[in-house]
Amino acid sequence: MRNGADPAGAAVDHALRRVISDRGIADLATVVSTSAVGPVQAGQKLLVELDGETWGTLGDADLDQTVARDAREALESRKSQVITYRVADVQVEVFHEVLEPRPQLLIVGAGHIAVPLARFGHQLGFEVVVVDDREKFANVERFPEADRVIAADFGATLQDYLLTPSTFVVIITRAHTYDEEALRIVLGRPHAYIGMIGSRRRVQTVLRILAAEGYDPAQLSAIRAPIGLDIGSETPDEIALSIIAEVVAARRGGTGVSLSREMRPIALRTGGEE
Amino acid sequence: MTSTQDLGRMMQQAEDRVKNGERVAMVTIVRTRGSTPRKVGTKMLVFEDGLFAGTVGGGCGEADVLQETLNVMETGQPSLFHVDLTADEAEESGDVCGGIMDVFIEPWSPGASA
Repeated sequence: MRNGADPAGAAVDHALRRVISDRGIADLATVVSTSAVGPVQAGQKLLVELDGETWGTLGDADLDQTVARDAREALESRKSQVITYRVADVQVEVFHEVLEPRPQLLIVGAGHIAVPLARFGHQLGFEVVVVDDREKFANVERFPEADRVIAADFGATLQDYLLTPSTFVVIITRAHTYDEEALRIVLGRPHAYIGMIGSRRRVQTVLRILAAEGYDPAQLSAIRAPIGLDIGSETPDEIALSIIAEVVAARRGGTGVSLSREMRPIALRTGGEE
Repeated sequence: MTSTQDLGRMMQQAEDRVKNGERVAMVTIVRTRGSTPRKVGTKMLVFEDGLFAGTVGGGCGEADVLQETLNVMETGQPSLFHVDLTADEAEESGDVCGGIMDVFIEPWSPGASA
């Protein structure tokens, strides 16, 4: 948008800011080139939201409509790309830019596992947020890599917290009662992943209680508890590694199984020949 | 890919500069071919003094992009700029440079988005 005074530009600007602050997803379509001078000019923008609502204009109503239709595909595939259109005899190139938030790692509990976990999360491209009700633990000195450290009550913080489909929630507080409280609050709200620490027995008990209370069984079975991949971790660093590995697998659609596992029978069968 | 968090930060930065009466431009990679150092959607903010935030080339082809960006600030007209990182010159600077990319350069004015 080259002219902020232009109402279409102001509408895009306003909507874009909202998408950013709401952690939303949108396709920002921008004219990047035209083969001739006309009403459609380089720099003009149309913002298309996930629900199909549009803001601004590329300078031609029909073009807006076609671009909005293609935006749906872009938003589904999450792929930004240039698409060429024709408006009358003018060739117009539009850049469909898929805007989405960086995934967020919400670490509930700032104990000894949270420290390496925040570091790993940051390193792997997550926006890292740490919550704990103890100021002694929840502070920037302890979590220099975190984007935000919140020292406040778990329940109140999570109640008001903006959870989105790209929030990865890791529940690792110092006490099962807090873990359970946090779990109740985030369950049924948008998230990409929920993991909770605990022994198999303890975790089972909690899940049974929640099921008996009428929580959706599908939601309960999606909870990663006990949290983490089985890498035999013992130290806090190793446990954090097992957690972040599971988070990455959830993000990227991995199985968490050793890549060699499926190869082994094949290697054994053909081993003599190679 | 530029995340919305990063975009928000860049918008804030751009606005602060514009408020000071400075000119600002946004550079976005819109198309790549071959193995370019940065992916489609990567953004860079360029200020009038030639300083910039972010990188579209990871050090490769940046001088040309900066020069063109200064032109865009001068004319106020956006530009789709072709950058060839396969040139000999780029090769000399190391293995990380490679591929071809188009960047869209647009001036930023008060109240402007992206």
